[in-house]
Amino acid sequence: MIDNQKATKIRHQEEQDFLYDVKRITSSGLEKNADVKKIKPLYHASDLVCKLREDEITKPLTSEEIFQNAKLKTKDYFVSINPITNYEK
Amino acid sequence: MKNNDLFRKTIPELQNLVKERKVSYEEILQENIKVISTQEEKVNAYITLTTKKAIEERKKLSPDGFNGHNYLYGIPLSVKDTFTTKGITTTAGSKMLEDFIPPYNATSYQRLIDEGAVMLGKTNMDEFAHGFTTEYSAFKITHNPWNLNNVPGGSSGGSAASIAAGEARLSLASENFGSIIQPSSICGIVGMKPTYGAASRYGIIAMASSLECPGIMGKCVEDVAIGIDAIIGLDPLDATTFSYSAKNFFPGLSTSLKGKKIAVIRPIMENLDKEMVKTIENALKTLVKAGAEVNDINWYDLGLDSKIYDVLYRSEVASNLARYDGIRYGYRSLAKEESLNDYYLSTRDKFGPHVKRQIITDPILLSSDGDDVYRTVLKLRRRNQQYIDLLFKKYSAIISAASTFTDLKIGEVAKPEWREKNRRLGKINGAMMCPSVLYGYPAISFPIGFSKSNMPIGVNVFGFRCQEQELLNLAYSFQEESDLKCLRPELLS
Repeated sequence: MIDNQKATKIRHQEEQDFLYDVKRITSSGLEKNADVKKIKPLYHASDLVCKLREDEITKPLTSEEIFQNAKLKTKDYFVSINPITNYEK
Repeated sequence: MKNNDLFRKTIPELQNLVKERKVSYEEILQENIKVISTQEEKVNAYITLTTKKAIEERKKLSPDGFNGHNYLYGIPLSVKDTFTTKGITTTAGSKMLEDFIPPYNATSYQRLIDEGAVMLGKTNMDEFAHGFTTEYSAFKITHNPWNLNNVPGGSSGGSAASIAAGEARLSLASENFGSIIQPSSICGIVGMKPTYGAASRYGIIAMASSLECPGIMGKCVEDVAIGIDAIIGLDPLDATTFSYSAKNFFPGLSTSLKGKKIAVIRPIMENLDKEMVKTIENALKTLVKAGAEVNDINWYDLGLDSKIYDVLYRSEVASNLARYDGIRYGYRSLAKEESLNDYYLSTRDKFGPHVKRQIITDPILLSSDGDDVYRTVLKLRRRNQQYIDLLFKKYSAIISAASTFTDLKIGEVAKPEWREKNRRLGKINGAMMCPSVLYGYPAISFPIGFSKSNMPIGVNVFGFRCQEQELLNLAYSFQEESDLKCLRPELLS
């Protein structure tokens, strides 16, 4: 059984890792690369299967919707140690 | 013949000894099984051992089974636990797949056993290959046979440790971000990933589909050449594979590098540890002695490759791990849950914290406003590939380091100090590991020396698509010149 102090520490570490990841993902700035507009995307390194979704109309979730989902998920999913089920900030 | 003598033999040498009746396949197998029985408790290379099955299979082997071509006949093999093996548990290092017994074999594994290789077990790995130390396995932590307090690298750390310790002759592993190159370097063995599409991914537990690639680890270049020969080729079950006409890498091995031009990515070297740089510089001198011309080159942007990799890898991981819902794939909860939501929760709880974090954060890049990033990255991927392709018109291989560390203690990565250090080294790591994975080039890692703490140092060399022979020749030339071959950790001697 893991004591509460240790569990809180692990929990804190997980949250730090989570924030680090989100920051890393959203701060790449790669979308600002205007000089690649005319280049065809490379889906696979061997360039054999390149007709995947370029012409397909898709409706993915907005990032806001995904953050909402993430919030829901963190409520129950973002727990690796089973005994801590009622964690509150 | 003593077992210690067998350890330093290459696979072709072993086959000749069997042919001359100086050694039997039984002795070759027992040599590895003996090491497993005495060392595995310390090394933890395997998740599942299949030694009993291997002994049964060995009984079917004929001493005349080697026909001059099938070098893997009777050779003990370890397989990373991400490859499906019919009737044998395949976990990908995750509790999610703890009880998964696949109904079919991965193509690469099938090709190795078709040649007569005998599997000794499934090796440990970071959960779903998310890690570089093999500490993030849900089952155990693998130790480096050169120093049991150290990590063996990852995610194919179990495979690398099994070879370095002498618990198998050859290992089938997979590459995502240095997953073969880095542990091979840290464990003092040879590891190769072929061109993307040369070897089938059919039967690999998918992590990042456009990046991952099967490869081979072994104690020397000859063994790895034989393993690569066996696994590559068109597979109707994997649409990204192609027909590879120029096989026979082992018979094609040559030590001459006369007329070969090799490039060194200088900006990477400037950011590495001095001891490592000195070892690489010495290795370059050896290559020059063998006839190669070595030139320094610049790189477009050291941090760009890891940024591109980050976006692609995360997007593909988000898609690939979505399938583990306990209904289609993954652990199935036996509890009588009241709703579908409860059922889903009890299933997804089987993921480790590292993987859970990725499941939550990774889909951000696939959102409608994140889509531009994803698409831009795919364009950058083509642009950079075109740039590197041009370099290969002049050079036959590009050299950089295989790892930013040689002496990493178990548990070190979880410390905040490491996080800070890793932030600085992140872009260097990306520039070292990403080109071969992102742009599909073949790559090889081989030992070039030792650190002051007696840990092996390897080098990372990548070449143009379908030029595996060039890379193998370069490694072979160095190996023969330096005698850094079939290295054995003192700890286990």
